[in-house]
Amino acid sequence: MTLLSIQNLKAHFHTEDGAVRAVNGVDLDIEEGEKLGLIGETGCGKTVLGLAILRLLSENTTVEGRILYKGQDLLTMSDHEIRKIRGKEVAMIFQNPLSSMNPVLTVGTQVAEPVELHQHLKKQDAMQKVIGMLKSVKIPLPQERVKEYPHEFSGGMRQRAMIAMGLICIPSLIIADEPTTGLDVTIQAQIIELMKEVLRDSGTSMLLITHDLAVAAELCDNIAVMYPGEIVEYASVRDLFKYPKHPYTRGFLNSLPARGLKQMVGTSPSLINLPAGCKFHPRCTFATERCRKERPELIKVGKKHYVRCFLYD
Amino acid sequence: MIEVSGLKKYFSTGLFGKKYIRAVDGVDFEIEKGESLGLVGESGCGKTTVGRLILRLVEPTEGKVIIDDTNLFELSKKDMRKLRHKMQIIFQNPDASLNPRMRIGDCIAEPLKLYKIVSKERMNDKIMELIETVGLNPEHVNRYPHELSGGQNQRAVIARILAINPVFIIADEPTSALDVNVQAQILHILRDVKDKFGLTCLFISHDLEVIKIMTDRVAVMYLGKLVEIGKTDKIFNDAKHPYTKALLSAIPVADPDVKRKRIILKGDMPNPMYPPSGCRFHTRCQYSEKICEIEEPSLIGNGHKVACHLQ
Ligand SMILES: Nc1ncnc2c1ncn2[C@@H]1O[C@H](COP(=O)(O)OP(=O)(O)OP(=O)(O)O)[C@@H](O)[C@H]1O
Ligand code: SF4
Ligand SMILES: [Mg+2]
Repeated sequence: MTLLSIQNLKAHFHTEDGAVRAVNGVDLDIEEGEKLGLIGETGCGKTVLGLAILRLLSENTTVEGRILYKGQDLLTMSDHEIRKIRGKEVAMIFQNPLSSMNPVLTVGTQVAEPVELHQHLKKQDAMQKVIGMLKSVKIPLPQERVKEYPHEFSGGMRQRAMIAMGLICIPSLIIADEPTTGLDVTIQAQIIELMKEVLRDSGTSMLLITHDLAVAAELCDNIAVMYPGEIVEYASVRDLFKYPKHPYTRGFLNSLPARGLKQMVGTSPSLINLPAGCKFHPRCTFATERCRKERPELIKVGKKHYVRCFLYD
Repeated sequence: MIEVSGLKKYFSTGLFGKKYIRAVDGVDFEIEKGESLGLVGESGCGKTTVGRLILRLVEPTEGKVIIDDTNLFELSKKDMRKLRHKMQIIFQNPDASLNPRMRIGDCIAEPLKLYKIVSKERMNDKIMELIETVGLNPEHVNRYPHELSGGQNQRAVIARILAINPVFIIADEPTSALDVNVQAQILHILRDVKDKFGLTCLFISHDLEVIKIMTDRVAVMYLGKLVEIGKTDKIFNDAKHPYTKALLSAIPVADPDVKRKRIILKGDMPNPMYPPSGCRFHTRCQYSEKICEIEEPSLIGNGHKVACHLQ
């Protein structure tokens, strides 16, 4: 069953320099139990898309489209209703745990927050739950560590605490924004294994936002590739790696050190001044007149494989 | 060409300087002329400090760095300055190496003037030549760093470094802040200029995939010490040290068909203020035995060297 259905989502920021069109007509479905990876280069709008789902974007933003969660549109809900969903039904793990945790509150208090808010547990009972949760994310001596502050945790420990906070109410969907970025490889490996395990146990769906394809390949079933503001390809992990279709996806894969370190010309366009037609056309070796003028739609090229490119029209 | 021996650096912390962070705690290696040596390890293992010691940007607690028969740490300030222009460093963050108030062209011209490398008349030609070598466009010369992307700034840094005709460069995580595609471009440039100018290179990175394609030999560092050193293909195909093996198995692979057994290390990196007794890795090692807790293993072997009791 479809858990979350994003339909023609747009998120534009109004700035002095003009409108920053960070998300530009995104369609994306997440099924129950599915793990979907959203990958793309820095600044392509991944985090903005994640924040838009939970209505966490700042005031200067215009958000359009529909985000149906179990059939209800999150964008038209009252503030009261969205607060009941946030942290309980749909939780978020933020890109940078140090800056998204409150430095003056103990880790225990912060992890307990969603439980107190949504499950109306007493402080003591909530803390018992937190200790159990910290244990399941393999934080040693949890009954001691709940009393510590975020800065007393190592980077890996903080990330575990964030995961614990995200999963403590057993949400249906977790949005994890770069949960392993900035961690050392051996710690990253610990966190990847941990996430596999806890998601399997809880049956929670995940939207994993990352620039690291390899991390997405390990944790996800399907992958959506984002290129400034749009999804340009969607496929199962296997199909994406074995049969990438979009010229950008191919270029991206080939530029990985393990895959030949081939260079792709140019860089991503500015979101204030996006090219007309296919956003990738200035860098694409296959671009035609049509690509310069017309925006390609997502075209179905296989069972659950979609690509936004005229080559497959 | 470069010989590092017994290199140590303790940083004192605490009010009375009684506690020491043993950032580098006895490191030995050599780099041959024209060779590229990779130094890998996780954050806080001391790899950046090794790089900075070799350039004498920090003073060592103990040890020698011998370059062409002279011990760097015995040189006077004046002689050091002369040598330094042959040795250059590329940092992770290009902003640290570019003056934000200077146009890119002026940033590149600065060392050319300082070291009187070309005459005034040839200055512009030389700048254009360098700009081209690193794949920037002539119009970038008049821009300020904040008007360029991270990748373009990193190219400017490389151009500025090449201006001085260095013989040895240290690249400290030169692409860690960049997207994969831009990383690919920068690594290509580094490889090209390295070949073209026959540079000797110390390539510091936590990214094993990058190390694999950029180096001839690799040294693996853990808590201030080397645990293994050898030819790059040997390290990647036939690693001996349990830490190196864990590090290699931790790299996520972008291929759903590759199934491997991953070695998950216990716990976190210990505090370098209180490194574990014996082999520093024993607290996280799945093979650890009694001797590992007591005696520190030394780095031994022929060519491919390992510091492990069980080898
Ligand atoms: N509040 C805001 N006002 C104006 N522009 C913004 C705002 N928040 C984000 N942006 C811009 O929107 C674009 C998309 O940003 P976003 O953070 O989603 O990128 P990302 O894909 O998550 O990148 P990264 O991989 O670096 O995390 C960027 O150009 C960013 O500068
Ligand atoms: S639509 Fe045209 S420009 Fe865009 S990726 Fe396909 S061929 Fe290239
Ligand atoms: Mg982001």
